[in-house]
Amino acid sequence: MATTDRQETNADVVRRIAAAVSTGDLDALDGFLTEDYVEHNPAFPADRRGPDAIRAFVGPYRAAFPDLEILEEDVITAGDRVVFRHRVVGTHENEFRGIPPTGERIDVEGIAIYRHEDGKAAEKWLVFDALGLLRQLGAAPEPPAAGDA
Amino acid sequence: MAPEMDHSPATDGDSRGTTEANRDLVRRFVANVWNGEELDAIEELATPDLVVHGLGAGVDRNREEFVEFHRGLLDAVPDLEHVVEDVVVEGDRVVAYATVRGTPERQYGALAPTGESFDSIAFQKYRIEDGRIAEVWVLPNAMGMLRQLGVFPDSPGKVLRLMLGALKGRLLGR
Repeated sequence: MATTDRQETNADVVRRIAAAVSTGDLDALDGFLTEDYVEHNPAFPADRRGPDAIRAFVGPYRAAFPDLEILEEDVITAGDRVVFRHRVVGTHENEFRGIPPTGERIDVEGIAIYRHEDGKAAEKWLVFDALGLLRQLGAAPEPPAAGDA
Repeated sequence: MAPEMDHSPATDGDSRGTTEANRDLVRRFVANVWNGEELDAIEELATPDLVVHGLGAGVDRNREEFVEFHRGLLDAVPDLEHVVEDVVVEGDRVVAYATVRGTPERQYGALAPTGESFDSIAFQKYRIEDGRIAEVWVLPNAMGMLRQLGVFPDSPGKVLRLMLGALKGRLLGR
């Protein structure tokens, strides 16, 4: 496969992963993640390994935010890498990590680099604005203005 | 992750040259601006109408505002260091994945001088226009940094108590 075709495929895989999370069709992830897929997220001490670990991670989000959707902001591809800049939106209708439902509409930024192997995502480095999420749920204080500090 | 890996496809000389030039531009921006080696170099590295998005809850800053903000940060966190771990370049768009370390010596925004250091991750996305940086989006792992500094609760129970406290404060404020 020519380089650009492969990159198109990789970008498509990333979009399909986002679509699977958005629709709740988490079984579909098996088609887009390698069996030994690894996800690095500095918000958590341990990496997540394999599609089941990702389903276990996404499940509580979908339960708390039933209309959860991942919106694409930007896709950048080079070699075996795909950068996916996105927003996660949804309505807080059920308990989330001990926070009772607020009815708030969340809109939170994330950026990830995916590494691909043979047409599937094999590894992901993610930063998700977890602090922003908690602020939108009223569960973290608003930041003091740095310029006034 | 192996640092500074090259994910650029081998294409014709011109686009290869642009890719390399854009990668090098971002490297110089990280060293001079983010790490504060020579903050004034921003006048050469970025366009006059530079916009920086995302530092501090969705605030956009122009070049002057960003320089002022970042000078304050470097002053509060003198050992601030960004190390680029991975770069992805496609045309005029460059994404850098960097580790960010530092020890606040005085309060700056939510960063507090607790004697602790942070060592976390930030993404930076750059849009490049005629060999200069025109737009930057930044997404740091802010919660991780605050937790490492000991200024953010580390369990859902504590978050909940904090939220109830905030709610109470809001109600009493009325």
